[in-house]
Amino acid sequence: MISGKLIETIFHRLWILAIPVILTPIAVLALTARSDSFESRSTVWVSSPIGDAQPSVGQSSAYLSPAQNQVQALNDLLSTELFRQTVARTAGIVSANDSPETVAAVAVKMSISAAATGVNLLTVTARAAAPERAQAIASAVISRYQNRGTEEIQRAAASSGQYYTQQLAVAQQALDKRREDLTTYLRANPKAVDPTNAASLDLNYRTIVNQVDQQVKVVDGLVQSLQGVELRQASAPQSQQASFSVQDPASRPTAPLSVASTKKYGLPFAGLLFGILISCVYVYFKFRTDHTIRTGADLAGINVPLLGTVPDLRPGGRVARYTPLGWYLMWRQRDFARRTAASIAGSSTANAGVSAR
Amino acid sequence: MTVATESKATLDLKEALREIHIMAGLDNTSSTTPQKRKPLAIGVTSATFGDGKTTVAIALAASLSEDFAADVTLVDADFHTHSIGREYGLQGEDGLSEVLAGTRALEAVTHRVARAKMSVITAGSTPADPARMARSQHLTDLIENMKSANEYVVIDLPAGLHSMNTPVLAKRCDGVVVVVRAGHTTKHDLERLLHLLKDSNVLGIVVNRQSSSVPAWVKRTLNINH
Repeated sequence: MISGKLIETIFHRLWILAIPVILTPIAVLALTARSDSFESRSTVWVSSPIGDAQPSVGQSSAYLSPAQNQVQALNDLLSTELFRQTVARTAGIVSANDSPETVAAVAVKMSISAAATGVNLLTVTARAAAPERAQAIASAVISRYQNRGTEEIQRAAASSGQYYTQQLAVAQQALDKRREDLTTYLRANPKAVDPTNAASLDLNYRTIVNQVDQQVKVVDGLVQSLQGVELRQASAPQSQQASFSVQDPASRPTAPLSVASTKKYGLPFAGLLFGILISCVYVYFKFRTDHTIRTGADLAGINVPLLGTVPDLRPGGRVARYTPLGWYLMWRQRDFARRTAASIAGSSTANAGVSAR
Repeated sequence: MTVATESKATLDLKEALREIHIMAGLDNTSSTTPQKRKPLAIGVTSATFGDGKTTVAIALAASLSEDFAADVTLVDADFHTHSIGREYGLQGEDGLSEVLAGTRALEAVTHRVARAKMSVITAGSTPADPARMARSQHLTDLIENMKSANEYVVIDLPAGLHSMNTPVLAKRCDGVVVVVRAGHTTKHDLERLLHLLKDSNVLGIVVNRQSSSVPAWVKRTLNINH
């Protein structure tokens, strides 16, 4: 048996209950509705540089493929504000005249992602409201990443070069000193030069010669390292291109992305269900917390008889009850019920026709 | 349209009041032997302000006068609101408090409603000591006087939970009608009021301003009866 009071609670607040049922799906639609979005993709062939376990940008893991290592580094960079702003500027989305706040806001909103699609293949995806913009962003990401790699190589090489140059100077000085010691010894013991002479087997002589030979090797090693670093510095752009080469340049999308039907219809439907749930919860609480007397049935348990019910007297009748006309009439005739009561006997208007006895 | 609506409202109200007459035992026309009705003093009260007790008191007095062609006096004993005096355009007029204070005679403060066998007595000025006035023998005598001149005396009592004079005044009435406002008066307030009126003869409860938002077809379908 359905409680009459519950039904009364529902119908009495029907307009209030309708509000979440109507507004929630509309709000969901408004929040999830998007303008057309275009997607541009670019595929890049990546490889670990030969003879160098590290990629040009970031660190690598031996357990990951070259593409996964590069994707990790690229995503790390994409999470930084500075890199995104650089990409935005390169893509031409922001101009030099834009304020830093504008640049930052645009950079944050850019939709860019990178994913490994094979052992050596990674895909950079960019989404934007215009196809040209999506393409520009995807191209800019790859361009900036390549530049970043080149810069990293050059910076590392410059740093190493500086180190080797300093070490080479020290080693050269030590070599010169030892050669001078050898010359001084030979001047004092000229026979030591002759390998057939016993003087050549002198322990002091052999030690000086060994020290010179060792220092020569050290200097040669440093010279080779310095040459390698200089080579790496000079060939940084080429080596970066070799380890990160664009296989498919960023495409220009011809059609916007399609919206999934789940998103198109599912979310508003979920919003509708949520709105209904809100209304149900509201009704439940109103019903459970309503301890007022509405009908004779609510007088159960009170040992006093119900004499009768007086209807709610309103001007305008039932039709005008929930309309602005009814509200206006109620405001104009606030004492309508009392005047109606008084009109039962005597004059139709209560305050007329009263006289002292 | 307004006139027609008011007529419909009046008819609805009259019908509701006729039910109250029967249920409260105020209608003795079914008696087989014509006899003079015993005069009755009926108090009307409610739990709180705004429940519609004055409206019900006016309607009850008017309908008793109209339906039974009986002499009825409507007395405003609610010194807080003075509603009846305002309703009948008698603001500032002397009334019950002056009679109880002995400064005016009952006849001098009784106002006749034109084209009806009904009189109105306003509350008058707010008395300095309403509690003593409510307990005075003078009030009992006054009610008896009014009963001797009328068949029904309808007394608009103060709201029960706002004035502790209500139980005292109610005891001086032959019967008390308790008005509750639908969707406003709580069961707890009603129980408190009835507890205060435990020494009075409570005739019953009138649910005022009852309305239903449920369409008739829904009630029929769900078998809901109010």
